[in-house]
Amino acid sequence: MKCTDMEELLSAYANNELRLMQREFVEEHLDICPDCRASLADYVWVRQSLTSLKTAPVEADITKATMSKIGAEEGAKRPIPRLLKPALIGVPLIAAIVVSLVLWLPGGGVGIPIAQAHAANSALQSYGMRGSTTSAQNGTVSEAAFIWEFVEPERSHGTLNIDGVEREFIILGDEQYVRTGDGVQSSGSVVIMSDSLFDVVPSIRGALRLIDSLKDVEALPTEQLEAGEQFQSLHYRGAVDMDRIIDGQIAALDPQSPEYEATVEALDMQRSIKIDIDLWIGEEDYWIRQLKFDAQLPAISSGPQGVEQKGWVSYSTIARYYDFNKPIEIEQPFMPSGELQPGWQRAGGTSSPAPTVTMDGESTGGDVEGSDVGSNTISVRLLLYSGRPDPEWELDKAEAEELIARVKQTLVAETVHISSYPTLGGRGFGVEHAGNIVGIPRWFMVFDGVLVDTSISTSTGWRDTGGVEEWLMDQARQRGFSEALDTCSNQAR
Amino acid sequence: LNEAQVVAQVRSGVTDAFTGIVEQYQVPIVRYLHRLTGDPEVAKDLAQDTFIKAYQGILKTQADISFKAWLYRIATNNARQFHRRRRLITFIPFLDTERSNAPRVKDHSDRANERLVTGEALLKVPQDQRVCIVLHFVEGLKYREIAEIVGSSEEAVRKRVARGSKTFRQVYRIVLGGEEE
Repeated sequence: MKCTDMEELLSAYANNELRLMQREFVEEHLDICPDCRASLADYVWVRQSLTSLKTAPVEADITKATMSKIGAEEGAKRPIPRLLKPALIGVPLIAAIVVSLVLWLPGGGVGIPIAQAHAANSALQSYGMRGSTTSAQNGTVSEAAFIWEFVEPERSHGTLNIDGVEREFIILGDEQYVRTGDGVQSSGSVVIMSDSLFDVVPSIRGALRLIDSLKDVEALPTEQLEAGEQFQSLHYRGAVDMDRIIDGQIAALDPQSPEYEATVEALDMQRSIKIDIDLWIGEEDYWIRQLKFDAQLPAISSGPQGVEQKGWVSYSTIARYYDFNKPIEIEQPFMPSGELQPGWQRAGGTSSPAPTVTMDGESTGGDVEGSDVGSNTISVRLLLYSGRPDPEWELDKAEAEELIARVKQTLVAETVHISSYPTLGGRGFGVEHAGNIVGIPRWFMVFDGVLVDTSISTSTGWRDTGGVEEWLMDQARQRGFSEALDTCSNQAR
Repeated sequence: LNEAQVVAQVRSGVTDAFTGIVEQYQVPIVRYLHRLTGDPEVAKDLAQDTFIKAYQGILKTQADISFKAWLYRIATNNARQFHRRRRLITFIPFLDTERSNAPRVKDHSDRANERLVTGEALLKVPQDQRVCIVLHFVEGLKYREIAEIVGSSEEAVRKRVARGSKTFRQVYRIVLGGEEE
């Protein structure tokens, strides 16, 4: 066994997680190997360092607040039929019944049983989904169809067909794998199940977020969605309360910030976004059965002459959910050797076997190059402020080196004041790495000829003298995102 | 605390029985979430949410793992969702309200300062690895228990702890370097 293969064993040895035979093996090797003794010392140091956090004072007096929230939800949560069960009748429950009646039989408007829907759907272990999304902008229509299965925790498998091009995905935690049909040069990844309001693939988690944001909810007659279903589905219709969302975001801003006014202006422009939702929830189990939404967004472009609207972008999505808690197997796309099966490739993710990037110059930390797979990955996201999912990809070793060199060249250029960011209809690039590439920001944005390290300041950036943006544009085109680039208005400005 | 009894009581409508669970686990869960998110206030919010979800879950499902492991699992998912949101916010201009440049407190005792550097370095370790090293080193769980919480094999946990330890050591130096500048 080579010493490089010993790392895991040494770490587990330091942590007292080896069986007797493995311990003996490690100890025999340590006797003859000074390098591994040094490695072991490092792992022991890590252990000491991190266990010191155990004794840090923790301020955690949350019992009262938690129990009062549970009490409040409890009143709203239990469906009335359940409260009538004889075993449950007791003095404290009378209060609960009263609360329930108030919530369930309101004077005006009908509320969705939000607490039940959250509780039931958050507890789902697996489900299937199929549906489609149609999007349109300036007469260009795009069709996406999807069929997907989800298994907790955070695993899913499905196919996504966008305008006739089919991709199959396996998603395991933060890692995505993609396989395409014959003859399709697939690149990079498609970001799915993001936390934005729009998902090409609208998971139940996304649907729950929509429920939280609704206003003007009306209850329509219950429906039987499919013949043979045990019971009916409650049908609700409402609209996303953009004002509430935007007001909340404005309230969270710092009025003293130099960007405050511009920020408020940009947010205000987005009040004209319209999203209508139809939702079908199982009458007895509260599982979400079907989701339909229609959205219209203003295509806003920001230029030197100010901000203007150029038409609208629309989305129409319908998704059915089924096979709740049925056993679903999601196979990993690996061969027994650990290599990817033929046809599969990685798509995005944060902990993939990564290109190794060699550091140079002003490194403060020294030895970050080398064998630590995963932590040097640089991922690039093409930010499309159109509501479409952002394409995301990772750089290989040579690309990462090229990008780092260009960023470093840009970081010595003159700084410029940033007065506006891309808004709806615009585009930019977001770049992120795991944090141990020295000398370049961990997160940064590039757009309109400037590079901004948003972790330092959102109002100051560097003039992009290293040509980072141009290079990223080429990268995006090489990966097949030309069309996405062309539909965004601030390109090549 | 007899957890099985508490679960039975909660199921039969005695909400207050759950108080014991919150009291018992609030410190470890808040501490765990603090180390995953880097923010003690966010940790308290996410911890409350964790207990509420656990409460709701008791009414709905039969967990196939120990109660403690199940709580950590919910907390881990909560932190993961928080990070997703934060990552998105980072890329949405104008909404960058969560990442502040709070000045680092300089006049701490050595130990507290060291913890500060340790905590900061920890945040730079990739999420999957961070979950495993915090559960092991800070929460004192065995690899077997962690595997249950994150839903993977013991071997995968062993790998993540080893990688996470290595990453931690590297970024610790970088963070320390920045501190001394």
